[in-house]
Amino acid sequence: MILFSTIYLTTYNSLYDQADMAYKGMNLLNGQKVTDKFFQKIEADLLGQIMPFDAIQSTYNNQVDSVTIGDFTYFADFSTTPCTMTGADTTTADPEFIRIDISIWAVHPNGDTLWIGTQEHPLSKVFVDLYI
Amino acid sequence: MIHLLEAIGATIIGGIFILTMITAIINIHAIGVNTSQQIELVEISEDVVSVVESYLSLVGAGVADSAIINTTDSSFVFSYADSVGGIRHTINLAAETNNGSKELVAYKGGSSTPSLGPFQLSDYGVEFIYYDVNENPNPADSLVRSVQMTMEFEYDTFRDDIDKRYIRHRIRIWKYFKNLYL
Repeated sequence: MILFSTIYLTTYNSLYDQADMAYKGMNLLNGQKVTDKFFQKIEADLLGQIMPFDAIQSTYNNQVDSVTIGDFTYFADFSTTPCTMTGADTTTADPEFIRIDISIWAVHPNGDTLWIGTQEHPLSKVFVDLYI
Repeated sequence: MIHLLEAIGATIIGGIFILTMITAIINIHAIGVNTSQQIELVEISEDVVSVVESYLSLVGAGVADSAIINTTDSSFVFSYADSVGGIRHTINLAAETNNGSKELVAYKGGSSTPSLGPFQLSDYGVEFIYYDVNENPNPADSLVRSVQMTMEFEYDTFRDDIDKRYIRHRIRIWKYFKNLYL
């Protein structure tokens, strides 16, 4: 009985670890796709001169957006920072580069929350003023 | 006689207990295999999606007009050229039904041989939703500037000794056609 119980518990633990990995992996990937969508949209708007570069900060700073995929809703919190070409913060009044940080989290209807990019470690991209 | 009955009873109870444990372990093993396969399907899906995204990156490259040729909710036909004004190529990205199951395929030019796929999909298949520059859905083909593509991959984890189950992974991507914004 001890032998079987040990095998049972070990297998169950292994199974739980696998399920947890699958769950997090699937939603991490989807979260990255959602973030990529936001970045693509900004790139396209800048490229097509639909949104002027100067408007990035007023449009996206502290903006919150969300996308629902299946049971999960992905919330994205944007922040913008003038930066150098390497992404380092700068205080230049008229920056040539702006970094957009997105912290994103997925919320399941049962209340589970999975952080994909946090405020301390966001998903970031540096945008350049293409039409100076 | 009483001892014989006790021995038979103990054997039956012990046998039932052992069978229950073995059944439980086999079931757990089956679920473990499916979970492992689910992880593998997620990884493979990501690889497939990366290739699909590289195809979608070609939309409108090097062509001045008619980059978007045909849009439906299950197929997307577009063109690109090797260089500006160069030879024009057509890509048809679609969900096809083959022997009752849906598959994701891409055809280049008029070829009947897929240049990508086939990849097994669930009954959900593929859904394309197109947007114009203002994110309004389903515009005329000439006004399409981005696409939302949702696809659900499927894998049959059947093994004779343990289980039969289909595992699925639904993934959604977006692609903004930068060439059409220029």
